[in-house]
Amino acid sequence: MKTLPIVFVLFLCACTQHKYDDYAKYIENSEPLNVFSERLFVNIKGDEPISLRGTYDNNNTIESNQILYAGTAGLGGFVAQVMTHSAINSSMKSGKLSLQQAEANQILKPFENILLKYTQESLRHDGYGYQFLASEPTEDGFIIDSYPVFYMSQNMASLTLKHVVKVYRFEDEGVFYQNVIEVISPTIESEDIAHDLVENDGALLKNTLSNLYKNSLSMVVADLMGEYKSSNSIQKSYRIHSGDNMRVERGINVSENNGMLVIKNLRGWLVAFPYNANNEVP
Amino acid sequence: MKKITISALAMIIVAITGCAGTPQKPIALSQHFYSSNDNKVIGIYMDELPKADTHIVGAACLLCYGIASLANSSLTSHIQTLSTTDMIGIDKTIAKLVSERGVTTNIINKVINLEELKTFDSKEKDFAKQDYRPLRASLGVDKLIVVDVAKIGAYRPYSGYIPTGDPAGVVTGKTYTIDLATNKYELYEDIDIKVNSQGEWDEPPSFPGISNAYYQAIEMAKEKISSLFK
Repeated sequence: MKTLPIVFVLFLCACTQHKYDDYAKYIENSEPLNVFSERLFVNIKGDEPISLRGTYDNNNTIESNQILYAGTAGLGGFVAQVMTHSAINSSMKSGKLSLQQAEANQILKPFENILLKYTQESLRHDGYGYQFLASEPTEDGFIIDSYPVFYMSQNMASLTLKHVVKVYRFEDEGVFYQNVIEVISPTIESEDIAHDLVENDGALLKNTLSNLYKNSLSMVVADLMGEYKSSNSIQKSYRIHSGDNMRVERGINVSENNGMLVIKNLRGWLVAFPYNANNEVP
Repeated sequence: MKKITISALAMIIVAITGCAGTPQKPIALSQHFYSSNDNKVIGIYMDELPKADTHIVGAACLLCYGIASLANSSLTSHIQTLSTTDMIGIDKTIAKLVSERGVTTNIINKVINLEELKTFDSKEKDFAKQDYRPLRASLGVDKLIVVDVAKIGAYRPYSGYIPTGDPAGVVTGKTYTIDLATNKYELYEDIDIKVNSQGEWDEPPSFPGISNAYYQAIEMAKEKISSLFK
């Protein structure tokens, strides 16, 4: 019985983890949404700057910090010492990730001036099946809360959007659909990528980010309509090349169009990436 | 009595230090490997894969390990259900790469118990510590490429009772090429791939983030192994 609090604490220790703002648990809509009879409003925080980050190393493993536990402290003292040890470790792990993100963001230095004036307002566009919310909706419909986070690869050749969306009916607290939509840009082929992305007030950069955002909303609408549910594909691993980085995403193929493949990964997230035979795992 | 104690201590020290062999350093494949083997047969053997499991490292005391195992039990239960079949086929990939360079290959499907090979004593470096030479006649090959996966699944580092990192997908082991006439390594490379989950990892019961990291670790291990023969 005395060991129960220890086990409890240690369970908590094992579960403590960093909170990510580009993460959401997939909630599938219970029934397909007819966007022709229902109205869809995209809610984006227009006055906030675009969130563009450098792709970073997500390994948060820290060096083992040895702590000497006092043996005379009793059960309560032992629990307190373990909790202290756990808190120190959690803080160090979280700090390591923050540091790695800060270091990765150095890649964005050439774009600082552009990003200062580039707000999420610029992402508004005329979309198929949805419109952007100007103010509070006055008629019934569904709201898409939109939280886009963009990433630039460390060689600048690829941009990625991780778009957290939550869909709910106006004046209804219940979540109808929630997901993360990830869209990876084709590789930017250039001798001087930084120059090309910066020139003309960052026209290429802005255009690429805007296209990623548009594509992601199209994917949200398609998923809401149930277009990605009829796939009979088998689960497999896909190699995704993003700038100087190769990663693997396990999932099922739900759509292939214009050289872009959309897969639904193990979390249920939608991932779209430029596709050719090299992406197939041999 | 004093002499007996000193002798016993000396024997223990010799026994302990004797167990700690020098680890084999990496050996890259020679540039002449393919041109010097055009009339030889190279066997390719993939040792039996272990089952996927969670590997906890650094929980040094028995109680620490017990607690760590308990804390990660739902992850372990899930990892043990994951298939290792994606790792299978690397022997065929190596055979294709080697054959393309004009060398005859033979994929060895027969199970070889590498643990049962006799020890091989050599004071020179880069010789295997087990005697592979009898395999030359029994397998009918001149050289043998071995892919030996030691761990596959998830890895979690601990310091005593406390985790020092999130769980990662893991594949560890070694790949080596051995000349069955001399028992000398012509290639030796440790495989140590660890891939962290993208974002949060604690997603029971199916742990999709860790599962994805596991499949990525497999692909990265395959990529590393095949790159040794390019």
